[in-house]
Amino acid sequence: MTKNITEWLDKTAARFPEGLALHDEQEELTYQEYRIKALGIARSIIEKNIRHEPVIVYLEKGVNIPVSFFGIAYSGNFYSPVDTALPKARVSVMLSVLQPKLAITRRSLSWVLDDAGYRGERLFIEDICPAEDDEAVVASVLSGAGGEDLLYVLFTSGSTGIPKGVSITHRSVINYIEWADSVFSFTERDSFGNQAPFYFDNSILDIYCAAKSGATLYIIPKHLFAQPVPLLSYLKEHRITTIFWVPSALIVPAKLHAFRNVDLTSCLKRVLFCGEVMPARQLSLWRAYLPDVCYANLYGPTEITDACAYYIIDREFADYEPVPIGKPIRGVEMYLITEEDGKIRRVSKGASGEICVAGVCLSPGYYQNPEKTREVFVPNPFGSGLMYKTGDIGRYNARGELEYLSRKDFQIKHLGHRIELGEIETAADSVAGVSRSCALYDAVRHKIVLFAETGISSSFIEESLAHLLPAYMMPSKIIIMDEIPINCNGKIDRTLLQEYIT
Amino acid sequence: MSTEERILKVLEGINEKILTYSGENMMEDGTLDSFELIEIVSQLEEEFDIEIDAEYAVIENFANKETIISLMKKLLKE
Repeated sequence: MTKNITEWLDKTAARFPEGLALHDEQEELTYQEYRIKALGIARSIIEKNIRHEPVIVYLEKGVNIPVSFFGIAYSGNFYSPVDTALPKARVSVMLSVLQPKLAITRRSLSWVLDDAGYRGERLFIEDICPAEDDEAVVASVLSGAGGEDLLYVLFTSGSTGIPKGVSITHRSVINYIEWADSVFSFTERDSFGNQAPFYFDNSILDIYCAAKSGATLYIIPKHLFAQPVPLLSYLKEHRITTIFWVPSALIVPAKLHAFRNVDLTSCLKRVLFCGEVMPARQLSLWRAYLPDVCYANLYGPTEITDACAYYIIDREFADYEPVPIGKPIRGVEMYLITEEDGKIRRVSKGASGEICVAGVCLSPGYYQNPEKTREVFVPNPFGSGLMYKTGDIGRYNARGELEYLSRKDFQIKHLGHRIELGEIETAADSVAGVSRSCALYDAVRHKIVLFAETGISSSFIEESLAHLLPAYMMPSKIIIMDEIPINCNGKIDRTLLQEYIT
Repeated sequence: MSTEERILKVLEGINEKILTYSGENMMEDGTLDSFELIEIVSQLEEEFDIEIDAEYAVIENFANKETIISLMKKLLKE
């Protein structure tokens, strides 16, 4: 039984040492090179006597990130990738949560960490020497980390303005990847076309399914996702068999009918999607052009190791029919609940309720945040251990398939990113001169709109927010108001403001 | 209204920041997202009653308002 994800790379490098493992615009690595570079990183970390600690990875997207992930796992530590496009104030907040002793970065990027207040050790990726079959490193790992030890911490938006670090164990990732491999049967002849950023948990399927099966992971240049014909040409040129993208990325080629220009029938076998609702109309377009491909809708928040439910598309859907999220993956239980007077009970058949998840997929909680952890990881009244309250509302349709309906709070999905509107409001409220603010989502136009009660200009607020928030959280529009409307409960009248934008 | 004015009106309705953007690549700079790209293509198709082939949806043609105007004039053979 696999205990540590590094075992996959050991086995695959032994089976296919010359097989192409990783490819980006600048570099390619075979499985043998992948493994010995990761072991080189591990050896450098072990020499620093760092163990069971968070190690941040601050690198631009490319082959060196998965290599670093494996290197950190080999060293018996856990990784936390930090997006190099983030404003330094946000990097600083993440660093304060993690308190890392080590960062893997490169010299040209390292100054940002200085500016964000990082004072720990650094390992520069350009200095790493491959460690030829370093048995001492491998032995050290196998005797130690794995199982219930953490593999990574990924940050998600937090409603109070502080991003939350979701910690995930080796065991949860192993369960998920073994499930995915058993359902989709990946082999060394497959090629993954990676879209997900490596700080986003959809990428773990790409990285670890490839490493387990011996497939090649192609890291698709980000700029191609806005150019449907070059994007599909890239898939064809590299004979990509599998893509696992957010629906926002799948919509562009479908809406612009790019399939007329590029025929993918000879290569693409699987189209998986997760992270937001897939519109049935766009799915139908994909299926019309590529009817022999296996399409699957995966569902799950970061707290349950990327995906805990799946639905293999097996029929046509009307344009406005929800695509089901299906049934739980192996080792997972899902419940639809309602709460009254503090008591949790399951909803009756066909009724909607909050989706709760239990099982091996569950995160041990938010890193260094027991209070927030206790709020949503609660004792499971229907089984053993804990269950995670997702905040998503769902229901079972007449066929017994689970469907996602809505959120019970102010979390949104925008361009595949999970965003708490409260985090945008907290950032806006911190701008000098803003009395209060309200962020809303225009789901029709896919835009974040911020209302601000202030006498200062929208451009000043926008400039201030750019120093605090990632680009994907920036409001498309800022509306200045003399007074934000208040409802009879004394709260901001979100309903009235929502009407204003729609 | 001239062709240029009609294009600018469409762009303004989708994202007014496009009109004031003065850089070289508004997609990479985050001014224009992929949903807006789709919206621009479909509204320009409707406004001018033409079909814009997917091959034209590349960064060079949607880098800023000037490149969009130039693309449309080419497609409209003006």
